[in-house]
This record gives sequence, structure tokens and C-alpha cells, in this order.
Amino acid sequence: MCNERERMIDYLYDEGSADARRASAAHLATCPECQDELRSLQAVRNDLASWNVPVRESVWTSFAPTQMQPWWRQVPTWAMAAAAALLLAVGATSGFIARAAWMPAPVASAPAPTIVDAFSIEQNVLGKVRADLAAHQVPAALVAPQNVSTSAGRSDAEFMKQVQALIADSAQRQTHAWQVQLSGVQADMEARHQAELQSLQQRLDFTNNAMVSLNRRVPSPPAVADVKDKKDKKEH
Amino acid sequence: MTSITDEELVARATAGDLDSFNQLVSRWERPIFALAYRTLGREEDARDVVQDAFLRAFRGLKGFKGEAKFSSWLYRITLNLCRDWIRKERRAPLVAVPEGTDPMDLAESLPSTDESVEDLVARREMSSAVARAMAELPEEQRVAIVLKEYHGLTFQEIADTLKCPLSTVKTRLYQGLSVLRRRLERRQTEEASLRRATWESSS
Repeated sequence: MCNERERMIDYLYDEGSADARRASAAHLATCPECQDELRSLQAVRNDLASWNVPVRESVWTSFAPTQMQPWWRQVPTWAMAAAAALLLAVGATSGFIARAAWMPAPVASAPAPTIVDAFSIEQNVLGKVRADLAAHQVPAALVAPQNVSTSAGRSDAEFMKQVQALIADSAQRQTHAWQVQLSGVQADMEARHQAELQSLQQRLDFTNNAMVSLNRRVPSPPAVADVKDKKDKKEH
Repeated sequence: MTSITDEELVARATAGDLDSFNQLVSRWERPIFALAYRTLGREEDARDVVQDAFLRAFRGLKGFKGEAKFSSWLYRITLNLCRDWIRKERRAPLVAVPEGTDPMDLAESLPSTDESVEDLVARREMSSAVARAMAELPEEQRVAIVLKEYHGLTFQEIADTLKCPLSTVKTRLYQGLSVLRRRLERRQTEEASLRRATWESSS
């Protein structure tokens, strides 16, 4: 490549040193041939700017996020509460069974087994469950000690009733959370629907305009009467 | 607010943060698709190349030492894939250009603020003509023009990407532009005579 062409390419794309640029400008001022060349190369660059790339959706399927949710976050709260209740029930039952099967037969002087023993076992199990639930950030209502009776005088039925109330409360909160999420999704879909409708309307209007314009560009065929006239004239 | 640089995202992705790689893809997918599309001329092929390019980049992240810009590295991967594609398929680039101008297609490219329908039609016709003329160029001239005109690389960056001397880049650009000029001028002459013929036959 001769120096002049190389300098012209530098000049065309505004690259190269300031000195080289000044030299090119000085040469161009006195050389009509190079001026024409530069003009036509610039025209090609303008034409190139019209080449568009089709806009399409992404071809890439994103990698899954690195941080996974802890497993207990995926378990509904009510299910966790139910599991806790089951654990309590098993604890209580096993207390009775263990006492019945493995303890020596009661002698007259020994105190009779009472519900208090069962409750002490339950309290142990309950303590562990509370610790587990607290570690997994379960709502405070479930683990708050005031919600679960510590009184030894309470009956099993009363205790189970309380647990059931907790489960019902938790299920209600879960349902409420789902409802909130659902309304969010509905609102989002509605907004998208509206946006799409608007976009379609806009495109439809534009298409109509484009068709009108294209029809104008296409020369209309000559009328049959005109053709006949021309034919008659030729024959005469 | 300062946005995260490519190099930072690369470092995070290399350390195992997949989301950072997703961000790199969303940042570079469009330019890479444009590069592949203009080099190959076929949309479907370009899409395949884009997927391959990002997969290769992901696999090769550990080998990316940051000596060049991430984008230059990605361009090189893409151009190598395009070259392989052209050789494997043993076919020249072809730009699929519709025969007529479809109004629905026109509507896809929503009008800019001031552009009239006539201007839009003319621009699309010119776009097709440029695409055809570019497809006929030798690959190395086409790639040099694409990198310069549509990706704004400097001569030195093009030389580094294509691993060729600086003067070669300028020669390819000059020759490519000269050939394009002749072809586009011929097209304009043909169009003008066609218009004249249409006008004469209808009058």
C-alpha cells in the first residue's frame, strides 16, 4: 500500500498522529483526485451505516444462580409446624410407652406415675424443637414460650388444641402470603397485556401507513380504455 | 454509580459465580451476534456461533489472563468460529434478503421520531444492497470493515484481534471499501435505469 493511501485511511477514520493528519490535510487541499477519492470513501461509509442487524431474543439460557435456597426455606411454614406437632406427639407417646414397658412395676410406697412425667419428656423434646425452629428462623409465634403451656396441670387435649391453633394460624398466614403473591402476578400480567396491546396497535397503524405509502410507489397499471385507444391509434 | 467492569465480572465468574458470567453474556450477546451475523450473513448460523462462542469463553475463562480486553478475546473466539463455520460448510456468506419489502416487516422496525415511511423503505433497500455487496467481499476484507465500522475498533485493536500487521489492516480496509464503492455505485446506476424504464413504459 502506498503511503498516500495509508494516510487517506488514517484520515478517513480520524486515526494516526496529529502531524500525519496535518500532512494529509495539506495534500488534500491541493489534490482534487484525492479529494474525490476521500468523498467517495466517505459516501460508502454512510451507506454502510444503513446495514441493520435483526433484533431477536437472546439465544443464551442463563446459568442457574449459584446460591441455592436452604432446604428449610422451601418447606411451607405449616408443614414445619405440623412436623413439630408430630414430634411432640411422638415424644409424649414414647414417654408413656417407655414408662409402661421398661420401668419396674410400681410398689405401694412408690408414687404413681402422673402426667407430670410425660410433660417433663415433652418439655425436653419441645426445647429441642424450639431451638431447631429458632435456628431456621421460623416466625416468633411458633417458638414463643408463652404460647405453649409449661404448666404441668394442663391436659394433653388442651396442649394439642394449642398446637392445632398454631398450625391453623400458620396456614392462614401462608395462604395470605400466597394471595399477595398471586395478586402481584395478576397485576404484572395485566400491565404486560396492556403494553402489548398498545404496541400492537402502534404497529398496526404503522403498517397501514406503510401499505398506503408502498401503494403510492407502485405505478398503477394503465386503464383498459387507454390501452384500447393506443391499440386503435397503432392500427390506424 | 460505577458499573462493574468486564474484568471484574470475569474474575468473579472464574471464582465460580455463574451469575457474573450471565451478566457478561447479556452485556456482549448483541455485539457478538452482530459480528457473527455480518460475517456469516445467515441469522441461524450466527445464533449457533453466538452460543458456541459463549460456551467456549466460559470453558476457557481460566485461560483468559487479561492481557487483552475481554471483548477482544470474545471477538477472536467468535471470528475463529465463523472461519471454521465457513470452511466446514464450504459456502460463501449469503445474506438472506427478502425479495420485496413487506409492510409487516417494516412495522417490526418501529419508526424513529422523524423518519418517514419513504425514508424507512429507502434505508431498508440500502441495507439489503450493502448486505449483498459485503457478502461478496473476501472474508478478510469483510471482517476488517465489520470490526472497524460496526464495532469501532482501532486499527491496532483489529491487528491484534486478527493477528496481522497494522498495514495489512489498512490495506484490507482500503481495498474492501473501494470494491464496495464500485458495487454500490453500479447498483445505483442500475436502479436509476430501471426507474427510467418503468416510467417510460407507464407513460
